[in-house]
Amino acid sequence: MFKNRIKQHIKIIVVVGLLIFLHFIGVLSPFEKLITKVSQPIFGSLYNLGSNWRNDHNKSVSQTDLNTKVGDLESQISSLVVENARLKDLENENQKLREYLNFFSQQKINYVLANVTSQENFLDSVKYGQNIIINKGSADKLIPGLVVINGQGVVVGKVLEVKDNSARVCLLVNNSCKLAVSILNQNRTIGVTEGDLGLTIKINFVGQTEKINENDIVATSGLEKDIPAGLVLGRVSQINNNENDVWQNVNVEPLVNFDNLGVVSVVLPQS
Amino acid sequence: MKKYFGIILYIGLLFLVVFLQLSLVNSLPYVFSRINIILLALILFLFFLDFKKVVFLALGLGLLTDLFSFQLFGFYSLTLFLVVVLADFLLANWFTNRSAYSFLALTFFATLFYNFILYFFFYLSNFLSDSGFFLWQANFWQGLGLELVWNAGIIFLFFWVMNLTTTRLKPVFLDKR
Repeated sequence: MFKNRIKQHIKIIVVVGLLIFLHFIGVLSPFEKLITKVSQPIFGSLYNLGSNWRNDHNKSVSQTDLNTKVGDLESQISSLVVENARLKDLENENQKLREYLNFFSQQKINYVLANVTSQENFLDSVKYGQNIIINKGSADKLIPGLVVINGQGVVVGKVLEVKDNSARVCLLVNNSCKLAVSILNQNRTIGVTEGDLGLTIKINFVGQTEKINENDIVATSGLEKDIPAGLVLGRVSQINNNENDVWQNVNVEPLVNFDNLGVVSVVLPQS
Repeated sequence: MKKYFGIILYIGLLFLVVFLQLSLVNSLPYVFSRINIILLALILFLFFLDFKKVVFLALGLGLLTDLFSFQLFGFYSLTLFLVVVLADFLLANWFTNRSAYSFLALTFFATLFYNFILYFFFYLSNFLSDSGFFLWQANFWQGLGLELVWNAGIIFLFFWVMNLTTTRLKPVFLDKR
């Protein structure tokens, strides 16, 4: 009986090995593509269902936090109104100057819209997790390293890996997701972001001489290949600068709700 | 005809389980996202179906998960196959009746086997790039504990409901070898 089982197990292992081999040499590719394509709409709708639930759950959990945040936001509104008026003036001035210079600086960004179909969920999620799967891949000219934005143009993450019809995207709060950014302060300080415990984003290796203020906007620096400059990802929330340290650490509060990503756009390289 | 209908039904079931796990459960809030429907389905298959069928279903689940996953192809198939073999060994030698205790013990061991084997494969595939071993990470143990609680709870609930409606799960010795 035991010997029979062993024989049976060996047969199965051979079959599995053969299937894995066929996968790697691409023989199974048409079937895989078909299954992936057919199942993507189902994945998308089920993901939205779960994502909505998570969003509602998070809202109810943080009700007390929200109350305190409302107070903070109300005080911010008045200062923002003043700033907005000043910026409108600047915008008008800017527009006139552009007309005078006949300068078309508006970047035309090529992008591909994609649905989030699932989310990776591993036990040691801080290390591996915070990755989402989208339904566009190499067939839509996606390559690793491209930046992913949400509907408002705020950076969500970066493409890590691509298959024919899907791609794995690391979210900015992922420890292994790194992005070249610049802080929109006077000096345009540059740095590299990385996720912090799956909750926030931090910028390391910022020199002590750099003057950074809370609420400074953080955007892509354009120093990375295929990632345009000026895509906003968050604002500075905390600055840790001990005089004895060589570097100061900057915490960035993302401007995007990672729990509510149904549709994203992948910014394609300029042709 | 009935045989083919059965096969189609099983394939549909496999797709449903994988869809639910990868897109719905994984996107739920953290606490709920630790439910492992694939493993729960496998444990139930082990109790209700013969070994040969369970192996094929496990491989089906594994191959489908591999197809949609970005890990090295074959990790899930091999893991689920090994879990079935180990769980069957336990069922045949230790948990020989269909009591709640057998259900729970099997769920416990299957969850441990599944996660240890799978994360060991992940560790091997990331050996050069990763510095930390999964067993030294608090997140791993926290997640595993939560998964054990969920899986055991759901299996217990299933057992309780089934026990109300059928006598199939009363303690009966199964091993006729």
